[in-house]
Amino acid sequence: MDQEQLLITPAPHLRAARTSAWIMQQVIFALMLPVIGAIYFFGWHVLVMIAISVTSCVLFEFIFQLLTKRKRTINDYSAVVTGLLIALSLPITAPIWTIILASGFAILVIKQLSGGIGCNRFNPAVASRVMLMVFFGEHVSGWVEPHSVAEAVSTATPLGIITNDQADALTSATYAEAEMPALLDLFLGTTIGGNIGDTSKVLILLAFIYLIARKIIEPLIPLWFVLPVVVITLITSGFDFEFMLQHVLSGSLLFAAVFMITDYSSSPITPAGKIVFAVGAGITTVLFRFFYTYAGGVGFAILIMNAFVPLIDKYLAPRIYGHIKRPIAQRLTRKTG
Amino acid sequence: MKKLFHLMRKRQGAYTEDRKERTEHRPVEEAPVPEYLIFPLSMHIGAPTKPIVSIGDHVKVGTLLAEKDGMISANIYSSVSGEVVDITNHPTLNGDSPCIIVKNDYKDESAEPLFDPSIELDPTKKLQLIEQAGIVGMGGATFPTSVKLSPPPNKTIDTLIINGAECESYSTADHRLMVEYAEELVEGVRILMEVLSVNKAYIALETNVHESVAIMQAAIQDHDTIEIKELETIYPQGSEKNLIQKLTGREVPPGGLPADVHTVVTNVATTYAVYEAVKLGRPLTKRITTVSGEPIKEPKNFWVRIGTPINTLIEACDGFRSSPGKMIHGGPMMGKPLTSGRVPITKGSSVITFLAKEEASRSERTPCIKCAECLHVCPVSLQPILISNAYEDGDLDQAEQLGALDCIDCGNCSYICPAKIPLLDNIRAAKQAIKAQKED
Repeated sequence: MDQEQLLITPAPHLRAARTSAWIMQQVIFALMLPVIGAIYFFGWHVLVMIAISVTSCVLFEFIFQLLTKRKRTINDYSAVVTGLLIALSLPITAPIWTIILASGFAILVIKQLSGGIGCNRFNPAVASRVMLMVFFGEHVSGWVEPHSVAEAVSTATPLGIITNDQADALTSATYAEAEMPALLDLFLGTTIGGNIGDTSKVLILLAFIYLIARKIIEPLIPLWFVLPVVVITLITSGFDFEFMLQHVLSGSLLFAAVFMITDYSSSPITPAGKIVFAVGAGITTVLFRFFYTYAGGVGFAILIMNAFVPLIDKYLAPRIYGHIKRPIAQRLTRKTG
Repeated sequence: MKKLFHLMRKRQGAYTEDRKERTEHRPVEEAPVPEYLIFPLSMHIGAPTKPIVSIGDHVKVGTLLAEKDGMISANIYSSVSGEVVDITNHPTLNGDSPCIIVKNDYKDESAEPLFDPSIELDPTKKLQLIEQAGIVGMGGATFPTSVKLSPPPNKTIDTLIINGAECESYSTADHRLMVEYAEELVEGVRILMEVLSVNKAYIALETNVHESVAIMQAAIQDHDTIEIKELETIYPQGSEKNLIQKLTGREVPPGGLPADVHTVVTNVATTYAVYEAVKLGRPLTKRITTVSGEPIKEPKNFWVRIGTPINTLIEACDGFRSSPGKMIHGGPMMGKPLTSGRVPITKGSSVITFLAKEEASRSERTPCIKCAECLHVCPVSLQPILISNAYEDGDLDQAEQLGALDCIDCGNCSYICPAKIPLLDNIRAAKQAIKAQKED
């Protein structure tokens, strides 16, 4: 056989089937679980929010790449993921313009200006959610109880109750009287006000399992994030397990554990770095919750840890086989696109 | 269960599909012997051999054709009887290079054995025979075995590892050798232990080949200094550095050799060749080669005379059932692509793999999404994407600091990358550039 048409590219000659787009599709499938929960708890308006956030994210990315003549990447579905995360991180009462603003901020400022997919240091969905909270807080904290959208009964989130009184929050003495929802309700999401994707922890756990089974995320990283929350709340409350569970099941903690802490682009690539990042974000979250007056500590905590990722990856590179010391990664990103 | 386990542990390796099912239960058969056999003067790492025959000479099976030249080199013997018809350039694994061409007379006359097998030999003489027989690492590395077996006096050896972890997809040559020649292999292991004067040998096997595990287990029953180590089926389990770490807990230092950590690793096919040389006085003139892959009609394991062109083996497999897109000397992860079927089987040819065009084609590269999969699958704990980035940015210092020279070329990073970044291409290029820089 003498065939000129035989390929002569060097080894390896086979490639795994999975592509970036496939990975993003799996995240989208996993996010369908909280979406279904959101529709069940808050009604069809959820779909309107999602349609707007996803469409604006994809459009912003498309237009940006068109204007800057960059390679189109909307086919990788990552903008769709960002759109879903943005909608799911907002309360049902969030005005439409906040969704569009958040999408624009996430895609243009956070993602594309840093160089596009894989280059953004901050998590786009988290950054835009925090941006809204800081600058337009009154528009995006209208938390209502599930199934009460029509009456628009405003409610404090459980976190609002926990952190209402900073001094008391450190001890578990008073929270019980502040009408904390039952743990089961927190778990199932039945009567809890909050962001539309956060409410049902059961659905978030199912999504977690799906992502593990598909090998999209590493199973231990979300646990490393939750661990310090468990430990610190237990110690400060004198081992009050109910207080601990209230913290773990409240707010965006578990949603962030599964979907934000595991974000590829804004978290470390080194195995040790991933753990430091997750634990650091967990500790920072508790500090925010204890010493800051409003909910959203998870978001701040993640952004702060995002900022440390280059430092973490620089010094926590794996030890190379046969070497004594870890190498030091001077640069983590490409100079040229 | 394996999948579940995979999720929970530190990965360091990739689950490539093993694709061995088409050949693993096929007994080894004699390959047809062609009319012309081609013996490249260089079929090993080290200096090419010097021909000692001339055109027109009559040779037999086991006649020395070319002798080793220098310390790191290995003798080459004729695998047929017939006549030397030419010494000329011919397509080989390393491009066109000088070869001795022997025309087969189909009489199959044998030369005298290397020694009289009835004489009892001492270890020094056994080592000499291994050297004389032209044995090299038959797993593909083709490093002269006698050199490996004679480490410098300051490097004591206490452990021998027999590598039966055939981790490349499709390849079943070593597996069939263990199934069909277990007793001979154990004898080979004992000879190697004697030559190295070690009293511990491990035979490393992957768990996916239950048959060879069971058979080898039975074969070593009476030898308590030989132990079977079953390893998870994960690529690149059979890499030398990896085996040493898994079996002894030692790590070969950067740029070092297994002897630096008191270990010698030998492939099973090499061990069999040692048995034939030292017990029967036969030089290395044949080996088992798997010919497999989707496009091949009847994939098989062959006893192949060294020097047989690949085309002869393709015919013996009834040709192709679909058109091949790639012909690889070796497996799909580390093998070398070939364009000519006239290339002969040499001492390191354990498998010839054929892939369909669709499976071998590369997909379009997309931006890195920082999934960190390349870090997880790297058996030597490199950060492939960072080395690749450094290389593409022209920063060779950074590439070197990040361990480009420690890369073992296993290909896992390029295999796993969802963005289809040619990571290993870049790391290899970085390695070459760094070495070139150092030579200046």
